[in-house]
Amino acid sequence: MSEKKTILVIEDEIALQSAISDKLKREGYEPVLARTKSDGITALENNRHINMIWLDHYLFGQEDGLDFLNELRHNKNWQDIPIFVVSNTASKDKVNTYLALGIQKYYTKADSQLEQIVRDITNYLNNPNEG
Amino acid sequence: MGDIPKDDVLKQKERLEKQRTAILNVLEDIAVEKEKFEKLEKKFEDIARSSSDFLWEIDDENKYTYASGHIKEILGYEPEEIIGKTPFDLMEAEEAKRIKKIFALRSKERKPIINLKNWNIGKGKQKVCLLTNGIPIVDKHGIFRGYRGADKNITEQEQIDQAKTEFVSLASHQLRTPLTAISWYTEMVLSEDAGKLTPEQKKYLQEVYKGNKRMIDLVNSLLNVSRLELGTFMVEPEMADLREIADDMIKELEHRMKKKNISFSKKYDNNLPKIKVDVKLITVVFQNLLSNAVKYTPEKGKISLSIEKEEPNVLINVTDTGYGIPKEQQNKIFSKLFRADNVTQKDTEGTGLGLYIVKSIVDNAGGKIWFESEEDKGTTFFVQLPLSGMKAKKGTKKLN
Repeated sequence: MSEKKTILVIEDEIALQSAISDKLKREGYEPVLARTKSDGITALENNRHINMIWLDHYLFGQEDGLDFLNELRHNKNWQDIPIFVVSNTASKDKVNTYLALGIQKYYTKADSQLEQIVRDITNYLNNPNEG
Repeated sequence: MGDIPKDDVLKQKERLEKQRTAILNVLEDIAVEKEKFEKLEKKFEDIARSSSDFLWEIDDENKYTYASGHIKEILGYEPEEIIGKTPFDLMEAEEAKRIKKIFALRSKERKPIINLKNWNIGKGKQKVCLLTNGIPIVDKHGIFRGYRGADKNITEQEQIDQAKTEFVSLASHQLRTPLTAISWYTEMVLSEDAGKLTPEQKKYLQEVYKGNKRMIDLVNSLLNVSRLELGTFMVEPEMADLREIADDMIKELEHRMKKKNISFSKKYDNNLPKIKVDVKLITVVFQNLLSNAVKYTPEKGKISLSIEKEEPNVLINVTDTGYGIPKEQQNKIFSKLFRADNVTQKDTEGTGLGLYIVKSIVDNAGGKIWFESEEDKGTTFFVQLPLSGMKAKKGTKKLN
């Protein structure tokens, strides 16, 4: 009896957030949604079992995905949660910064299929060492 | 002493008369020449004054020996203030280095300087973009003495161009979010996440998806163009095999070639070494040249690709038996947004950005691109890349 895996989705665009949420539910995941950095942190505090984080760069409010990541990396309980960054901002120095902060994958939204990203998530969660 | 014979005196006098006439003639000639010279000087001064360009002369050490009064309006300096200085003294360090190198190369070959864009700092610290043209001065012994030329102030034009480019970049970024929404929702409906589709619904939605994909590609191309123009793209060279990069592209195009019954052949140099290139940028080059060949070659045509070592370069050439480029439009083929008349009717999907991007990349890599083409016979594109590879360039954006 395996429980549903929980994925925290931090994405400020409602239309995109809802598409991601629907797709994840369809593939058997439990999405938890957030639009700002602080909502994301609150969600982590309230949900013990977040298996993965789907993170956008530009977020609602003043702080962005990098601010979120910084805070996350300072909390021992959250350090090992895998992160996929999915953003339309493909600036190379940003991608490099994210990778240096230890995220697992980086996608440019407009160039990626939703289905492909979700498939990659499933593969990663099943075989974390191969991703 | 005896008397001087009368004859001698007369002869002497006659000789002196002749000399006098000769001297007077010379003086007259000089006066005429002087007048001519003064006229010429006046003419030159009038031209220099009425031209909106700044006219100049530099010696063989690049030091100004003449500057027309317009420098005051353009850069804020009096001509006397810059005599003895070099053009590079008026630039920021990095720009000075770049322009100095070009001057050195041109003067070594005694070649003219043509439409060289350079950024200067005016007396009031303002940034001024000049378009420099100059011809080498060589004296009668064949010794190089410097340059003479004119600088046009193109700052305003450049600023408008920059604003345009920045606008395109911003707009393209903003477009990506709604395009992603269309793409992802269409994808979900097509995967029948929201219920079964009739074959017709599926077909129509596939068209929506394809149209949207084209729009994303266009936005990506526009972003690439703005990055190339703003100079914000980065070059990250790594050792790579050009043959492998080409093969990856060919694989992607196989299906389309099969559909059009196009026969494809390739010829690779077995001794081609790996060279240091930015794989992403070179992929864009192969992608555009090969997909253009497929796009603009009619059914049952032929396409061939060869990659060969020709010290100190690699020569890539892509030949097709396609529609060709009309002669009168060949000089525009690398211009932004240009599409030749004979293909706009046959294919509506081109953006007119591909070859512009390719040329920018090849130029940046220190290479060369050219072509030979005949309408309804075909086209060959040649790309020459230095075996020494590409130089790393720090930027903030990568090309898509």
